[in-house]
Amino acid sequence: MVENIKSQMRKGVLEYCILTIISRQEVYTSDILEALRQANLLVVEGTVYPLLSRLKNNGLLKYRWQESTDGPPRKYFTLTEEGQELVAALNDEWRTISKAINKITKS
Amino acid sequence: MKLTRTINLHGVVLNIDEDAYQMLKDYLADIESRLPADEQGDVMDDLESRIAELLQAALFDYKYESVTIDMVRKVCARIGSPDEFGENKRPVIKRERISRQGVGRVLTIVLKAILIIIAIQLLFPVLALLFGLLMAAFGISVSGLALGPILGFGLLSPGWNWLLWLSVMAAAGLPVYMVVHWIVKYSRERKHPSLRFWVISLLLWLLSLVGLATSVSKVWQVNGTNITTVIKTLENAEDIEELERLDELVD
Repeated sequence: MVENIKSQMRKGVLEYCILTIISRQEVYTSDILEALRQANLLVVEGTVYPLLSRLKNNGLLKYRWQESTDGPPRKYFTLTEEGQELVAALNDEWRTISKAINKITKS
Repeated sequence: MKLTRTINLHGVVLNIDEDAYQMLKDYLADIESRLPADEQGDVMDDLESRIAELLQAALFDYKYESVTIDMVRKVCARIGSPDEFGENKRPVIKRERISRQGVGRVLTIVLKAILIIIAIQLLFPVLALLFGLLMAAFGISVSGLALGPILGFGLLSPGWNWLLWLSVMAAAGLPVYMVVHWIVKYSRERKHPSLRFWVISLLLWLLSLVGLATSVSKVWQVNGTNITTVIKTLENAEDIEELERLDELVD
Protein backbone atom coordinates (compact mmCIF):
# COMPACT_ATOMS: atom_id res chain seq x y z
CA MET A 1 0.00 0.00 0.00
CA VAL A 2 2.69 2.47 1.10
CA GLU A 3 4.93 1.55 -1.83
CA ASN A 4 2.01 1.90 -4.22
CA ILE A 5 1.22 5.44 -3.00
CA LYS A 6 4.89 6.39 -3.23
CA SER A 7 5.11 4.96 -6.73
CA GLN A 8 1.97 6.83 -7.83
CA MET A 9 3.36 10.13 -6.45
CA ARG A 10 6.60 9.64 -8.34
CA LYS A 11 4.81 8.72 -11.55
CA GLY A 12 2.60 11.77 -11.19
CA VAL A 13 5.53 14.16 -11.22
CA LEU A 14 7.63 12.20 -13.69
CA GLU A 15 6.01 13.75 -16.79
CA TYR A 16 6.59 17.23 -15.42
CA CYS A 17 10.21 16.41 -14.61
CA ILE A 18 10.87 14.94 -18.06
CA LEU A 19 9.38 18.00 -19.74
CA THR A 20 11.49 20.25 -17.50
CA ILE A 21 14.71 18.36 -18.33
CA ILE A 22 13.98 18.57 -22.06
CA SER A 23 13.06 22.26 -21.80
CA ARG A 24 16.63 23.12 -20.76
CA GLN A 25 18.33 21.75 -23.90
CA GLU A 26 18.15 19.12 -26.60
CA VAL A 27 18.65 15.82 -24.83
CA TYR A 28 19.20 12.16 -25.57
CA THR A 29 17.14 9.54 -23.68
CA SER A 30 20.13 8.48 -21.61
CA ASP A 31 20.57 12.10 -20.47
CA ILE A 32 16.97 12.13 -19.27
CA LEU A 33 17.46 8.82 -17.45
CA GLU A 34 20.66 10.05 -15.85
CA ALA A 35 19.08 13.30 -14.66
CA LEU A 36 16.16 11.41 -13.14
CA ARG A 37 18.48 8.88 -11.51
CA GLN A 38 20.54 11.64 -9.92
CA ALA A 39 17.36 13.25 -8.60
CA ASN A 40 16.43 9.85 -7.13
CA LEU A 41 13.22 9.89 -9.11
CA LEU A 42 13.90 6.88 -11.29
CA VAL A 43 13.26 3.37 -10.08
CA VAL A 44 13.37 1.55 -13.41
CA GLU A 45 14.15 2.93 -16.85
CA GLY A 46 11.18 1.30 -18.51
CA THR A 47 8.70 3.79 -17.09
CA VAL A 48 10.24 6.64 -19.09
CA TYR A 49 9.78 5.24 -22.60
CA PRO A 50 5.97 5.06 -22.65
CA LEU A 51 5.86 8.57 -21.17
CA LEU A 52 8.13 9.94 -23.89
CA SER A 53 6.01 8.26 -26.53
CA ARG A 54 2.80 9.68 -25.04
CA LEU A 55 4.24 13.19 -24.78
CA LYS A 56 5.39 12.98 -28.38
CA ASN A 57 2.01 11.68 -29.56
CA ASN A 58 0.35 14.62 -27.77
CA GLY A 59 2.50 17.05 -29.72
CA LEU A 60 4.53 18.24 -26.72
CA LEU A 61 7.84 16.73 -27.84
CA LYS A 62 9.66 16.19 -31.09
CA TYR A 63 12.85 14.34 -31.84
CA ARG A 64 15.53 13.92 -34.43
CA TRP A 65 17.79 10.95 -35.08
CA GLN A 66 21.53 11.31 -34.78
CA GLU A 67 24.06 8.66 -35.72
CA SER A 68 26.32 7.51 -32.92
CA THR A 69 29.87 6.27 -33.29
CA ASP A 70 29.60 3.86 -30.37
CA GLY A 71 26.12 2.38 -30.55
CA PRO A 72 22.74 2.57 -32.21
CA PRO A 73 21.40 5.85 -33.65
CA ARG A 74 20.15 8.18 -30.92
CA LYS A 75 16.92 10.10 -30.52
CA TYR A 76 17.45 13.70 -29.44
CA PHE A 77 14.36 15.32 -27.89
CA THR A 78 13.24 18.95 -27.82
CA LEU A 79 9.99 20.59 -26.74
CA THR A 80 7.50 21.82 -29.26
CA GLU A 81 5.96 25.27 -28.82
CA GLU A 82 2.97 23.61 -27.18
CA GLY A 83 5.32 21.71 -24.88
CA GLN A 84 7.07 24.93 -23.84
CA GLU A 85 3.74 26.54 -23.02
CA LEU A 86 2.75 23.50 -20.98
CA VAL A 87 6.01 23.55 -19.00
CA ALA A 88 5.45 27.22 -18.16
CA ALA A 89 1.92 26.43 -17.00
CA LEU A 90 3.12 23.42 -14.99
CA ASN A 91 5.82 25.52 -13.30
CA ASP A 92 3.12 27.86 -12.02
CA GLU A 93 0.98 24.92 -10.99
CA TRP A 94 3.86 23.25 -9.19
CA ARG A 95 4.60 26.39 -7.18
CA THR A 96 0.96 26.54 -6.13
CA ILE A 97 0.86 22.86 -5.16
CA SER A 98 4.18 23.08 -3.37
CA LYS A 99 3.01 26.05 -1.32
CA ALA A 100 -0.25 24.27 -0.50
CA ILE A 101 1.49 21.07 0.58
CA ASN A 102 4.05 23.00 2.65
CA LYS A 103 1.24 24.82 4.34
CA ILE A 104 -0.55 21.56 5.18
CA THR A 105 2.51 19.65 6.32
CA LYS A 106 3.86 22.48 8.44
CA SER A 107 0.61 23.43 10.09
CA MET B 1 29.89 -25.07 -24.80
CA LYS B 2 26.84 -23.02 -25.75
CA LEU B 3 24.88 -22.40 -28.90
CA THR B 4 24.85 -18.73 -29.92
CA ARG B 5 22.78 -16.63 -32.26
CA THR B 6 23.43 -13.39 -34.07
CA ILE B 7 20.75 -10.75 -33.63
CA ASN B 8 20.15 -7.27 -34.94
CA LEU B 9 18.89 -5.14 -32.09
CA HIS B 10 17.93 -1.73 -33.43
CA GLY B 11 20.78 -1.78 -35.91
CA VAL B 12 23.33 -3.25 -33.51
CA VAL B 13 24.54 -6.72 -34.38
CA LEU B 14 25.16 -8.86 -31.32
CA ASN B 15 26.20 -12.43 -30.65
CA ILE B 16 23.98 -13.84 -27.96
CA ASP B 17 23.73 -17.19 -26.18
CA GLU B 18 20.65 -19.21 -27.08
CA ASP B 19 19.19 -19.11 -23.54
CA ALA B 20 19.87 -15.38 -23.26
CA TYR B 21 18.22 -14.82 -26.63
CA GLN B 22 15.11 -16.69 -25.53
CA MET B 23 14.89 -14.67 -22.32
CA LEU B 24 15.31 -11.36 -24.15
CA LYS B 25 12.80 -12.33 -26.82
CA ASP B 26 10.18 -13.31 -24.23
CA TYR B 27 10.83 -10.14 -22.26
CA LEU B 28 10.37 -7.86 -25.27
CA ALA B 29 7.30 -9.76 -26.43
CA ASP B 30 5.76 -9.48 -22.96
CA ILE B 31 6.34 -5.72 -22.90
CA GLU B 32 5.00 -5.26 -26.42
CA SER B 33 1.80 -7.11 -25.54
CA ARG B 34 1.15 -4.63 -22.74
CA LEU B 35 1.57 -1.43 -24.76
CA PRO B 36 -1.26 0.40 -26.52
CA ALA B 37 -1.11 -0.04 -30.30
CA ASP B 38 -0.22 3.62 -30.98
CA GLU B 39 2.76 3.48 -28.61
CA GLN B 40 4.18 0.09 -29.54
CA GLY B 41 6.41 1.23 -32.42
CA ASP B 42 8.07 4.14 -30.62
CA VAL B 43 8.47 2.48 -27.25
CA MET B 44 9.81 -0.79 -28.64
CA ASP B 45 12.29 1.14 -30.81
CA ASP B 46 13.50 3.11 -27.80
CA LEU B 47 13.70 0.02 -25.63
CA GLU B 48 15.59 -2.03 -28.19
CA SER B 49 17.97 0.85 -28.72
CA ARG B 50 18.58 1.19 -24.98
CA ILE B 51 18.97 -2.57 -24.46
CA ALA B 52 21.45 -2.72 -27.35
CA GLU B 53 23.41 0.08 -25.77
CA LEU B 54 23.44 -1.60 -22.34
CA LEU B 55 24.40 -5.00 -23.78
CA GLN B 56 27.22 -3.46 -25.79
CA ALA B 57 28.50 -1.82 -22.63
CA ALA B 58 28.22 -5.12 -20.73
CA LEU B 59 30.17 -6.97 -23.45
CA PHE B 60 32.86 -4.33 -23.23
CA ASP B 61 33.00 -4.52 -19.42
CA TYR B 62 33.09 -8.34 -19.26
CA LYS B 63 35.41 -8.60 -22.28
CA TYR B 64 33.01 -11.21 -23.68
CA GLU B 65 32.13 -11.82 -27.31
CA SER B 66 28.66 -13.16 -26.66
CA VAL B 67 25.80 -11.80 -24.55
CA THR B 68 25.08 -14.13 -21.62
CA ILE B 69 21.85 -14.79 -19.77
CA ASP B 70 23.29 -12.99 -16.76
CA MET B 71 23.79 -9.82 -18.81
CA VAL B 72 20.22 -10.03 -20.12
CA ARG B 73 18.92 -10.56 -16.58
CA LYS B 74 20.73 -7.43 -15.37
CA VAL B 75 19.51 -5.36 -18.31
CA CYS B 76 15.92 -6.52 -17.75
CA ALA B 77 16.19 -5.59 -14.06
CA ARG B 78 17.42 -2.15 -15.03
CA ILE B 79 14.66 -1.55 -17.57
CA GLY B 80 12.04 -2.92 -15.21
CA SER B 81 9.45 -5.62 -15.02
CA PRO B 82 6.96 -5.85 -17.92
CA ASP B 83 4.29 -4.96 -15.32
CA GLU B 84 5.65 -1.40 -15.40
CA PHE B 85 4.38 -1.10 -18.96
CA GLY B 86 0.77 -1.90 -18.20
CA GLU B 87 -1.48 -4.86 -17.89
CA ASN B 88 -0.96 -7.98 -19.91
CA LYS B 89 -3.45 -7.86 -22.78
CA ARG B 90 -2.80 -11.38 -24.01
CA PRO B 91 -6.08 -13.25 -24.00
CA VAL B 92 -6.35 -15.66 -21.12
CA ILE B 93 -7.62 -18.96 -22.41
CA LYS B 94 -10.18 -20.23 -20.00
CA ARG B 95 -10.87 -23.88 -20.36
CA GLU B 96 -14.46 -24.06 -19.35
CA ARG B 97 -15.92 -27.48 -18.99
CA ILE B 98 -19.32 -27.70 -20.56
CA SER B 99 -21.64 -29.82 -18.55
CA ARG B 100 -22.88 -32.67 -20.62
CA GLN B 101 -25.45 -34.81 -18.94
CA GLY B 102 -27.73 -37.65 -20.05
CA VAL B 103 -29.02 -37.55 -23.63
CA GLY B 104 -27.12 -34.37 -24.39
CA ARG B 105 -23.84 -36.03 -23.49
CA VAL B 106 -24.48 -39.09 -25.66
CA LEU B 107 -25.61 -36.89 -28.56
CA THR B 108 -22.48 -34.79 -28.29
CA ILE B 109 -20.26 -37.88 -28.34
CA VAL B 110 -22.08 -39.36 -31.35
CA LEU B 111 -21.95 -36.07 -33.28
CA LYS B 112 -18.30 -35.67 -32.43
CA ALA B 113 -17.52 -39.20 -33.63
CA ILE B 114 -19.42 -38.60 -36.90
CA LEU B 115 -17.61 -35.33 -37.45
CA ILE B 116 -14.24 -36.94 -36.79
CA ILE B 117 -14.98 -39.78 -39.22
CA ILE B 118 -16.14 -37.37 -41.94
CA ALA B 119 -13.17 -35.10 -41.33
CA ILE B 120 -10.71 -37.99 -41.61
CA GLN B 121 -12.39 -39.35 -44.75
CA LEU B 122 -12.40 -35.96 -46.45
CA LEU B 123 -9.13 -34.69 -45.13
CA PHE B 124 -6.97 -37.63 -46.02
CA PRO B 125 -7.03 -37.27 -49.80
CA VAL B 126 -6.21 -33.57 -49.42
CA LEU B 127 -3.32 -34.34 -47.06
CA ALA B 128 -2.15 -37.11 -49.35
CA LEU B 129 -2.19 -34.71 -52.30
CA LEU B 130 -0.24 -32.09 -50.34
CA PHE B 131 2.25 -34.73 -49.25
CA GLY B 132 2.72 -35.77 -52.87
CA LEU B 133 3.28 -32.17 -53.96
CA LEU B 134 5.75 -31.67 -51.14
CA MET B 135 7.66 -34.77 -52.18
CA ALA B 136 7.75 -33.48 -55.73
CA ALA B 137 8.96 -30.08 -54.55
CA PHE B 138 11.82 -31.85 -52.79
CA GLY B 139 12.83 -33.47 -56.01
CA ILE B 140 11.28 -36.94 -55.84
CA SER B 141 9.37 -35.95 -58.94
CA VAL B 142 6.62 -38.17 -60.39
CA SER B 143 7.09 -41.06 -57.95
CA GLY B 144 6.81 -38.56 -55.11
CA LEU B 145 3.71 -37.05 -56.61
CA ALA B 146 1.99 -40.39 -56.68
CA LEU B 147 3.34 -41.75 -53.39
CA GLY B 148 1.21 -39.65 -51.03
CA PRO B 149 -2.19 -40.54 -52.46
CA ILE B 150 -1.23 -44.18 -52.92
CA LEU B 151 -0.44 -44.46 -49.19
CA GLY B 152 -4.06 -43.55 -48.57
CA PHE B 153 -5.37 -46.80 -50.03
CA GLY B 154 -4.10 -48.69 -47.01
CA LEU B 155 -5.83 -46.38 -44.56
CA LEU B 156 -9.11 -45.43 -46.20
CA SER B 157 -12.27 -47.47 -46.53
CA PRO B 158 -12.93 -48.73 -50.11
CA GLY B 159 -16.01 -46.53 -50.50
CA TRP B 160 -13.79 -43.49 -50.59
CA ASN B 161 -11.21 -44.88 -53.00
CA TRP B 162 -12.58 -42.72 -55.84
CA LEU B 163 -11.37 -39.64 -53.95
CA LEU B 164 -7.90 -41.12 -53.74
CA TRP B 165 -7.85 -41.97 -57.41
CA LEU B 166 -8.89 -38.42 -58.07
CA SER B 167 -6.01 -37.14 -55.98
CA VAL B 168 -3.60 -39.50 -57.76
CA MET B 169 -4.83 -38.05 -61.02
CA ALA B 170 -4.35 -34.55 -59.75
CA ALA B 171 -0.98 -35.32 -58.21
CA ALA B 172 0.53 -37.54 -60.87
CA GLY B 173 -1.32 -35.95 -63.75
CA LEU B 174 0.29 -33.86 -66.42
CA PRO B 175 -1.15 -30.50 -65.37
CA VAL B 176 0.15 -30.75 -61.82
CA TYR B 177 3.47 -32.09 -62.99
CA MET B 178 3.82 -29.12 -65.32
CA VAL B 179 2.93 -26.63 -62.60
CA VAL B 180 5.30 -28.22 -60.10
CA HIS B 181 8.04 -28.33 -62.65
CA TRP B 182 7.42 -24.68 -63.53
CA ILE B 183 7.67 -23.66 -59.86
CA VAL B 184 10.58 -25.90 -58.95
CA LYS B 185 12.58 -25.49 -62.12
CA TYR B 186 15.40 -27.71 -61.16
CA SER B 187 14.79 -30.55 -58.77
CA ARG B 188 17.51 -32.30 -56.79
CA GLU B 189 17.94 -34.59 -59.73
CA ARG B 190 19.27 -31.58 -61.65
CA LYS B 191 17.56 -32.74 -64.80
CA HIS B 192 15.26 -31.17 -67.29
CA PRO B 193 11.99 -33.02 -67.79
CA SER B 194 12.71 -35.94 -70.04
CA LEU B 195 10.42 -38.09 -72.12
CA ARG B 196 10.66 -40.77 -69.41
CA PHE B 197 8.94 -38.48 -66.89
CA TRP B 198 6.25 -37.47 -69.34
CA VAL B 199 5.50 -41.09 -70.22
CA ILE B 200 5.43 -42.21 -66.56
CA SER B 201 3.24 -39.28 -65.70
CA LEU B 202 0.86 -40.03 -68.55
CA LEU B 203 0.70 -43.72 -67.66
CA LEU B 204 -0.02 -42.92 -64.01
CA TRP B 205 -2.72 -40.52 -65.08
CA LEU B 206 -4.35 -43.12 -67.31
CA LEU B 207 -4.08 -45.76 -64.58
CA SER B 208 -5.72 -43.35 -62.16
CA LEU B 209 -8.46 -42.67 -64.67
CA VAL B 210 -9.20 -46.39 -64.90
CA GLY B 211 -9.08 -46.69 -61.09
CA LEU B 212 -11.39 -43.72 -60.72
CA ALA B 213 -13.86 -45.13 -63.24
CA THR B 214 -13.85 -48.51 -61.49
CA SER B 215 -14.31 -46.99 -58.03
CA VAL B 216 -17.09 -44.69 -59.15
CA SER B 217 -18.87 -47.47 -61.02
CA LYS B 218 -18.78 -49.57 -57.83
CA VAL B 219 -20.16 -46.74 -55.72
CA TRP B 220 -22.88 -45.92 -58.30
CA GLN B 221 -23.49 -49.63 -58.96
CA VAL B 222 -22.78 -49.30 -62.66
CA ASN B 223 -22.39 -52.86 -63.97
CA GLY B 224 -23.34 -54.90 -67.06
CA THR B 225 -26.80 -55.90 -65.81
CA ASN B 226 -27.75 -52.39 -64.82
CA ILE B 227 -26.50 -50.96 -68.11
CA THR B 228 -28.55 -53.51 -70.11
CA THR B 229 -31.62 -52.64 -68.04
CA VAL B 230 -31.12 -48.94 -68.69
CA ILE B 231 -30.64 -49.49 -72.44
CA LYS B 232 -33.76 -51.66 -72.60
CA THR B 233 -35.77 -49.07 -70.72
CA LEU B 234 -34.61 -46.40 -73.12
CA GLU B 235 -35.43 -48.59 -76.11
CA ASN B 236 -38.89 -49.22 -74.71
CA ALA B 237 -39.29 -45.53 -74.16
CA GLU B 238 -38.35 -44.91 -77.78
CA ASP B 239 -40.89 -47.57 -78.96
CA ILE B 240 -43.61 -45.96 -76.93
CA GLU B 241 -42.77 -42.55 -78.36
CA GLU B 242 -42.81 -44.04 -81.91
CA LEU B 243 -46.24 -45.57 -81.39
CA GLU B 244 -47.60 -42.32 -79.99
CA ARG B 245 -46.25 -40.50 -83.05
CA LEU B 246 -47.90 -43.04 -85.45
CA ASP B 247 -51.19 -42.67 -83.57
CA GLU B 248 -51.01 -38.92 -84.04
CA LEU B 249 -50.39 -39.39 -87.80
CA VAL B 250 -53.32 -41.79 -88.16
CA ASP B 251 -55.56 -39.32 -86.37
